[in-house]
Amino acid sequence: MASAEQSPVPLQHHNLCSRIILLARKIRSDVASLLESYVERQGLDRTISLDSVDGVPVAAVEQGGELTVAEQLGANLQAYRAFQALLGEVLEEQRSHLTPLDTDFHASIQAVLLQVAALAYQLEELLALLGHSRPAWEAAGPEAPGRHSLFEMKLRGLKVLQELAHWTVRSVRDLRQVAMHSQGSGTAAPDSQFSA
Amino acid sequence: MLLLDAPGNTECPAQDICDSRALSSITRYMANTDNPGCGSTVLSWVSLTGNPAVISPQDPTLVIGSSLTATCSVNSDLHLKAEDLYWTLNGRRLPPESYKVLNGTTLSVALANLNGSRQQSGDNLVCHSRDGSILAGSCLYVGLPPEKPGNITCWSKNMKDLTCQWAPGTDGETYLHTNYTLKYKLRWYGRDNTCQEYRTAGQYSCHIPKDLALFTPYEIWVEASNRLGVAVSEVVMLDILDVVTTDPPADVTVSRVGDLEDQLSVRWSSPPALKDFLFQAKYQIQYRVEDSSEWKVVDDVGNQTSCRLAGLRPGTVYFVQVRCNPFGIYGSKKAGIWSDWSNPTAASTPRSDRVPGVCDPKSGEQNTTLRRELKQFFGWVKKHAYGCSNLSIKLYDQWRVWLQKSHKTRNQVGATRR
Repeated sequence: MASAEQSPVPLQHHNLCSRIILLARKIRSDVASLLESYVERQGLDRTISLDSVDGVPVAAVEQGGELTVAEQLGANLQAYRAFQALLGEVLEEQRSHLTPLDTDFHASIQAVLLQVAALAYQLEELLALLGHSRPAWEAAGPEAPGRHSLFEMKLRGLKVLQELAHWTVRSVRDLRQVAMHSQGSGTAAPDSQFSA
Repeated sequence: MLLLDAPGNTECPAQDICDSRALSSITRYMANTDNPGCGSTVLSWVSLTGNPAVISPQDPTLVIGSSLTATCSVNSDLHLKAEDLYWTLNGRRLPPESYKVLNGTTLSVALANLNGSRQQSGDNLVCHSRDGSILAGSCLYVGLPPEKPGNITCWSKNMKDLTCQWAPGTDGETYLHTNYTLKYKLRWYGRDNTCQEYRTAGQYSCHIPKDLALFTPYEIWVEASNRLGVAVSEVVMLDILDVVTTDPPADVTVSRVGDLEDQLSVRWSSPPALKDFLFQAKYQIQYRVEDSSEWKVVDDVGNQTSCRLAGLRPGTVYFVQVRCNPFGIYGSKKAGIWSDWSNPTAASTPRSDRVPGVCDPKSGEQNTTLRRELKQFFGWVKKHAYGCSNLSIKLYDQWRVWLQKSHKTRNQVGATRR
């Protein structure tokens, strides 16, 4: 008779990984819709070159460098912390300068921002559960007003959303690896969420 | 360069996200970037590269129909020539005939007779290098200065608040974000106040929820402003008591008048929110048959709280609504403002025993019809009103409404199938 009062730790990892994966997929889906409305409202083409835009975390990892679980999760956490700040700036720029009347659009950005904050929190939880320390985070100070031209704001917003979409793909992959790793090192747990 | 699947696509299922195709996309993307970010613990992502070029003027505001000459000056370190550049406006390449090389690193473009901005966030005028890379961009705001807002109308619900609406000049289309501010002050003293709750009753409206004085007129006006200027409406003067409206009448009931087949009686209560105030009220009733959208209005109800509708069709379901116009509050001489209509209340007139001009059906046939209808009615009562001790003609009315609706639905379904 299985009546454990507390779930075994590998099962907790597994459940938390599942939740993070689900949230990452939800963010990806919401960001896809948001991108549609973003390009329309800014008059941009989705294929526009964004090479000139710097300051946004990119989802790519260096080739050849196998990352440890702690490094993988740390990189994810850092990225979502950065996206949280960047989305806040994008939202403020839209409200103040670019689309001041479009409250529905602002609400969509806000909704994604909240999900990203939740994802960062869950990643912190997972790191703690696995016994890893959280990477230090020094939030950048508020952007100096007038630092970006209006056109730069538009491009930056687009890059933030596109890279966020890429990060959610990477996170799902990373979290599945973490889950498999925890499975391999502990009690077997149902894997339906990861193989679906 | 984006190599991952397009963000606009629907979400990948899990197996797609982690299959080799998706991973190789990431790897290809990795190969195309030199960002070291992901593995490091403290990242400093928020940085900007130096501007490769500068567009002048940056983010200008222009009046519709005007012309603009913009220049793109490339950073000389890039070793790009002016001849290698080109311009786009909202993603469309501008014709080379409109370009002029000003010097080795500066290219100008001349735009004539500009149309209003395509999007609220401004048109995108972009300077590109030959390979399509963006060197610099400028947002153009092309529109009209605001016109003087007009037609300010205000109403106070139950004397507690004030809502005002206005019309923007020229349909409000300035192609630029135009801000409207409603301001108000007591006529003889007091300072300017600014309304805070906008768009509560349409795009051009504002709601002042509290702290309003009675017996002293207010001056109210609207200021419209955008990047091209400011326009102020005429000042409207009003006393709250003169613009009072109220909730719709409460407890509207509609009932039969004995067996009179062409009449219904309508009763209601005066709006409770105004019961403590000295005022007069006018009421209006509107009614329609169930299968018509055309309302008939009875506007000579006066200050009665009941009315009999006559000349109705026998055996027909009617919907009835009532509204109220409170006037003369504390001696105000102004006509009041009509409330919204109450929610519709339904009732049916009794069926006519005889159809004029048609012979009475034989008693046997009539009995059969009546028996069938009664059987149907009791079946409905059993299903919908079981345990309801208050069996009355109202219940029969409800059944008639239900019966008509179900016939209507059946007809619609039949029509769809056909």
